[in-house]
Amino acid sequence: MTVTDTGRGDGDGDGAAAGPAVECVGLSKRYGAVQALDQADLRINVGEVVGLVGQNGAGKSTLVNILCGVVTPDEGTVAIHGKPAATGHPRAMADAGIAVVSQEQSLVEQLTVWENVYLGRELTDPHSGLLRRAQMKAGAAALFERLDIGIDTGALVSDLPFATRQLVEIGRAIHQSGGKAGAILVLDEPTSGLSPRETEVLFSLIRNASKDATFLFVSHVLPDILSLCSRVIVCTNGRVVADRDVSDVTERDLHELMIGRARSADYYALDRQGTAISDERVLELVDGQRTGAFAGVHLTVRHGEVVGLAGIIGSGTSEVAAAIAGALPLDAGHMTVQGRTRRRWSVRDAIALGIRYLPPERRRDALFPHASVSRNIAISYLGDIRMAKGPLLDGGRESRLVGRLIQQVGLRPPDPKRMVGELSGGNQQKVVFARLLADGCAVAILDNPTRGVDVGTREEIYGMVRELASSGTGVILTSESIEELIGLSDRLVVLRSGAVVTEIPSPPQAKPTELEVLACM
Amino acid sequence: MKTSNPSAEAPAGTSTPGGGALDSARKGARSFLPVLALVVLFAFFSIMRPDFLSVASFQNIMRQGAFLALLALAGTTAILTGAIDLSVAANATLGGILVADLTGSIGIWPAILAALAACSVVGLINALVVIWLRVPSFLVTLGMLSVLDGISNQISGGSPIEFSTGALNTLVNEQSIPGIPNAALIAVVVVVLMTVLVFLTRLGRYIMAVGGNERAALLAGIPINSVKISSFVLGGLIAAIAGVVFTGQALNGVPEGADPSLLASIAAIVVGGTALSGGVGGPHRTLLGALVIIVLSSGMDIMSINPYVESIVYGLVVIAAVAVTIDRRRYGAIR
Repeated sequence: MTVTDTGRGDGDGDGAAAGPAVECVGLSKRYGAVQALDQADLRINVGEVVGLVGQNGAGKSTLVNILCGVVTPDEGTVAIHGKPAATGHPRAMADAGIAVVSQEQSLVEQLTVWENVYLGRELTDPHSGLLRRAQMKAGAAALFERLDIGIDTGALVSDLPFATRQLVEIGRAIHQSGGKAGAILVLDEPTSGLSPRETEVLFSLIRNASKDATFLFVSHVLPDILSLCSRVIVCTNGRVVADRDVSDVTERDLHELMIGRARSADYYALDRQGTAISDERVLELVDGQRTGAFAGVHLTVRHGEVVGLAGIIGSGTSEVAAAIAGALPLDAGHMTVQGRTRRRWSVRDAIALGIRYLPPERRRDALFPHASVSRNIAISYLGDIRMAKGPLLDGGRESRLVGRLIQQVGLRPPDPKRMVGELSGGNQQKVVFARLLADGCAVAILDNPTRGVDVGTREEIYGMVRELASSGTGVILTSESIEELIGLSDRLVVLRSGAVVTEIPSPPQAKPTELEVLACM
Repeated sequence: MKTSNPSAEAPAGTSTPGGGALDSARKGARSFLPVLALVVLFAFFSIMRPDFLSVASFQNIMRQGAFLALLALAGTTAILTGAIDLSVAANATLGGILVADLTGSIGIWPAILAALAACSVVGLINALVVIWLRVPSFLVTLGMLSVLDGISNQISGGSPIEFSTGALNTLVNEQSIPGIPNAALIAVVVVVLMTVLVFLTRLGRYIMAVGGNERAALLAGIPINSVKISSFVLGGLIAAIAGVVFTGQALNGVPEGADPSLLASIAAIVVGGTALSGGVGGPHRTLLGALVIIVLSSGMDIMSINPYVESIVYGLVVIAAVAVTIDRRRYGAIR
């Protein structure tokens, strides 16, 4: 490896007493046609609590994944405590001192708190090889006492509430990196799912622990960032666009920095917006409730209308979309689609009602990677491509239907025999779109249709959304990008913590600004 | 403020390198390797032993190949859905025992119908347990294997069942087309029907979809439970046919008779290029795989290789074939 120690010589004149705990230089990462991270620099000094903000898709998670070794950067270096780190090796990054605390907790639920704290680094008696249980128990108790957190270290993790487990996880990370400013904790959206009180406890732990550890705090919740961090870094479109002391910025400044570049109005085909909206409701969700995801959600969609569900991750937008599609059953409430009311329905029932669903992660939720483009598209139309008599499918009908759809979505190259797993993200998404387009559905649910899609395909997808709407289909849309959501939607429904907080009209002549929408989220 | 450069985005339509190339390579290996293996093995044994090319040898290959192909076809549908049926061979044994046991009292065709029905019910039970109790299919069918052996031994009293074999002998061993035993014709008909089913019917597409990506199949509105049930029942039905052919060739009902062929049948499936991870392959490939295995086994026979060595070879072939065909991204075996 040719990495040299870049941490010392470039004289940033930093005010912190200690040197950098993490220094990233020129990190770039490309996924197919999407530049997820573009020459990003990042420096965190020992003992600092630094905030990292940005819209979804701005590069935050790529940066976090590089730091924890899950993603290997195409270019650039990471140095930890001044030593070059082996990027792309989770174990090496962990050994160097980086620990990530995310929504997916890594505690072993069947073990106690102290067992988790010492997991993989158990203390044993050198003579007998037996575990030194008493010593480990005392060590764990001392750890949480020092962090000023009252936890019964003998409790089973599965018995602890979510917020407390979050604290245990942080405690363990500090302990396992050996204390003494060695630990670098990346907290990925740690406050989502926490009550304000729990959040306050978490923050006091972080403040207490910052003498023992360094924190990178990734969050959508800007007030949290401003109250907790000393410095904030803003990512936009894969670049680090700002690095400021929190005393120098306001929430409004951060919003503006996160939004990034402006777009021309015709990008979202605004001239075609809202042409087919009728007064007739095509779908109505009444008092939709799903425990742990959303409650009391009332949503109406009219023919030809694009309704955007806006909200941060965990606000329930994706869950509401999945519930309408039949992928998540409701605990209470009902749905009426074109006069037909249902209390419980499966994906099949939803399809029978005229609902088509584009799920959020195409590789996981929608594609058959080893099958051809044709097979992937035809799977939704097998009833339409049968021979006039008998059970067999008609190859001629299949290739005509698929050929027409491939042209309609603009697949490149327009080859129905190509294996879907070999296509770029944009082309894969077009294949999924082709499943929605042939039969004039009543409602199309598009959960994040442009995720991981290149800019060119994005515009084509916007065109398809307009086409669906102008054919009278009611569209329910979510997106990682607020700008896109505003651009495409006729009306925004804003969710926060699983409840609808407001609706914002978004007609072509009077689009709300991103700041207005963000303020509600 | 910095803006990102749109020209840095690659044009749509370019495929992702790494993963795509690997997929292509594996896809190529799947289609090409079984044919190559067949040709190489054939050439090798012909050179080593010219009598490998005799009429008797070909007839032998057809006879054994018919049974193995049918047994492997019985296991193919479950594997295409991403499950596995380890009870196919024991199920075939049960079918064969039932035919031997019932022919004397109710006649050959009713006996065969009873075997078809019983083996299909076994498939149904396998599927229902997998679906309702959410137990992995390999465990359910491993348990079922033991259950079926017990039943077969119970029916037969643990020793071969003698019966009047005239009609069954005609059905399985006569040559309706000169030179080709009926068993081979049966196998060919079943392969053709299965291939049509898998590629040209809605059920077949659903089977491939469930094996290709179960979650995507569910979200596309495919009735995945019915698909699983159909695939196991179909497997049971074909296992019965394999059992009938087995008993017809052995000319008595042998408890645990077909059981030792389980590994060879799985070898045939994966050697043909059907991936254990599901959604890739098909019945036509299983026929090819069965031929490879049978040529290998007859060749080793004709070269008088110790049968214990054959067993070792099967084991190694299965492992090698799985290594070539499996989709590691979904099994996470490497991590």
